[in-house]
Amino acid sequence: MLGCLIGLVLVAAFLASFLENRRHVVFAFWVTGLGVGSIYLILGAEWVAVIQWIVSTLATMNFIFFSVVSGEFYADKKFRLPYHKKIHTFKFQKFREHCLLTVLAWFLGAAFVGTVVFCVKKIVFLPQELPYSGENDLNLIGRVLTQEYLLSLQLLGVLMLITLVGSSVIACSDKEDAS
Amino acid sequence: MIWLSAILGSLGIAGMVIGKSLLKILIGMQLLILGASVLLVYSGIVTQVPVQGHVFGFFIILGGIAQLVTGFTLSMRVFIFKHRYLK
Repeated sequence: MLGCLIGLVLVAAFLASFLENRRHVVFAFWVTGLGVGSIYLILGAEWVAVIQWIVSTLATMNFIFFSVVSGEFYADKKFRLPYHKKIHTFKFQKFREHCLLTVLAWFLGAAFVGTVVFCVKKIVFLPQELPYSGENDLNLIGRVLTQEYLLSLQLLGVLMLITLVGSSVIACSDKEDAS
Repeated sequence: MIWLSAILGSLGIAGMVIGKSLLKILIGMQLLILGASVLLVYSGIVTQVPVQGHVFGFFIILGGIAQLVTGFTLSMRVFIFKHRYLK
């Protein structure tokens, strides 16, 4: 199981780094985040796993939005017309077949790489027995966060607030946009 | 597992260096942060202090969110400038 997950994560990260199609890159990044969250779950870090899944999914949705708004539309001027034509002649049958083939290819690739990793794990890098974190309840994590790392938590909150306010200031339209 | 985080970070750096669009650079940064959080969580578990590893991974993930928000904001600003001046 761990070998399959590591293979899936490595293949997805490789595709996310080197593919050209923006949608495929975003999908590969999503699979990477989900795979890393699953590895956390196997290691016993349920809390970080859930956070990782949520963050990866939200980041993927934002990446799709980004790729549609400011990536594909202005990618190249000569592609504007075919892009619009492609949107207008969208066919659900081809889209469904494409999705099915993509999912099938992903699972086959992950299973292949996972099998290879599983076969050579004794001589490569995988541990023979997984360490498992025994003390992992939310009570303990919350106590550590609010007692030992309170200053770091406050600094993180201030950083997020500054990011939110600064992003709002940068992204808001000025008077010239309004006119 | 340390190799996994190292490969994830290397792929992120490679994506940032090779990528020509802002999307690829942002995804490269996210992969880098992903590798760092994997390393922190795993090292916390191995060294018998799992909660500290989880907390550091949590901090790293939230720092990545801040980076992502800033990148999206800058990309939106670039989109507005392109829409206004390069139309």
